[in-house]
Amino acid sequence: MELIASMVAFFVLVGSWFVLPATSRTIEPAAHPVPEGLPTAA
Amino acid sequence: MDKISAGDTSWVLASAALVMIMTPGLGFFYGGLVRRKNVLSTVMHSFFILCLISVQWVLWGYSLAFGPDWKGLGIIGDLSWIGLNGVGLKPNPDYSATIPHQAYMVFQLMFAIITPALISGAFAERKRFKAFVLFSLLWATFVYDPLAHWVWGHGGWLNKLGALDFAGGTVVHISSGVSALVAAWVLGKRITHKTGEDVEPHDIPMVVLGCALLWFGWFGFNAGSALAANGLAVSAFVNTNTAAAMAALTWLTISWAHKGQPSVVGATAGAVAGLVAITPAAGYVTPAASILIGLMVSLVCYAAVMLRDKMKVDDALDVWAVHGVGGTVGALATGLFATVAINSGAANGLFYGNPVQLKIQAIAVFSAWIFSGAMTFIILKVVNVFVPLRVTEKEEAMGLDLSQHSEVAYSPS
Repeated sequence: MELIASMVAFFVLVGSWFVLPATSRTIEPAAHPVPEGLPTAA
Repeated sequence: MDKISAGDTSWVLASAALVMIMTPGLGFFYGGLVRRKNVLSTVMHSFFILCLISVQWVLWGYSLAFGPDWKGLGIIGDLSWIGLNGVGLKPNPDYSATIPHQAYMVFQLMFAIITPALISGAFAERKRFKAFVLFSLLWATFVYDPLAHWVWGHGGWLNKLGALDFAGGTVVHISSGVSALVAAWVLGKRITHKTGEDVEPHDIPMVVLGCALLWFGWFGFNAGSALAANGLAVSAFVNTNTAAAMAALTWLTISWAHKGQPSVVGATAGAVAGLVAITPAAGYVTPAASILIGLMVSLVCYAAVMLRDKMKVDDALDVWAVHGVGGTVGALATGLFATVAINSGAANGLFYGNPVQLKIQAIAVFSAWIFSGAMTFIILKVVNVFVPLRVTEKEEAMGLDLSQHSEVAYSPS
């Protein structure tokens, strides 16, 4: 029982990573120096 | 006559060293989470407690926690082992028949050190150093030592009742977590709630390093609690790693769903929550159960972090949500998943046909919450009579590194 429940829990977690959003956070240029390649708020 | 085992003694001494490194590791974990002007004071909390309790434990702490039961009440040890009088190199079969008594004593010392250090995350960035020193000494003496006696001491009342706590879910994590909540409430919020200053972690790689040191040391914490180099130690080791990993994956997933990104700090918080929850259960449950415990603790602790936010209590580094609530989850889960198939000297839990064990675990949890919460409140009020608990607003704005230690972590030159 414990084994089945733990197996299900693990696969639910792994499966969720393929459907969860991948939003990027923006960085305020005034507050931080922005390394090349990162998105900025401006 | 009890015979010393070289293997058991080696493992317990190595485990004591592993648990020792957890406290400086905790300093890094907490130090990375605070702002750069408070990193030294935060690291110092852990390092100072390592030194302070090492001496307190030898002088009177060990006697109060593990000494012969005072008047047979099961509340506290007497002072007959003060200064380690009578705590020698022969085994004490009440605690472990195959290692020198002093090896057991020094292993337990490392638990006594990290417990008050855990609380320091709640009052980070605003507690006066002198108040912290006095509080830590009183807390170790009047909260940790009695509670350790209740659960682990020979003749302790929770020990006699049959409460299961393999490595410190109640003694270490509930006590520190609940005390943290009370301390955060008594001290009040940081001034950042007035200034609107950003309180994001100043060094996340340091947080990850600290978490890794904690995880590494936790093998000694839990597997060392078998007090022998045997199969039970291996079982606790496997469960410890498994629960930490599952809890980290779970917390990361929840934070991803909640905030849109897989958080690095979230993964470390989840790992610590998993380590906390498996602590009382490590020597009693199967590896599959440790996966479920890791899953449960991150779900509950993440909710506790959000609840703490609504409670408007500035527990700066979420000690209550991770240690107090995580320890509670672990202690109750022990009452669900414990099985004598893993540890023949223990008891079955609810899922193995023994509902009484869950009731005993609940009594232990309730007692630890009430005792540590009430005592911490009293101790803080007493300390405040002699030393103000908080630094001034000016000192807080300046940062505790400069105002309390006249040093800075990162030289501008």
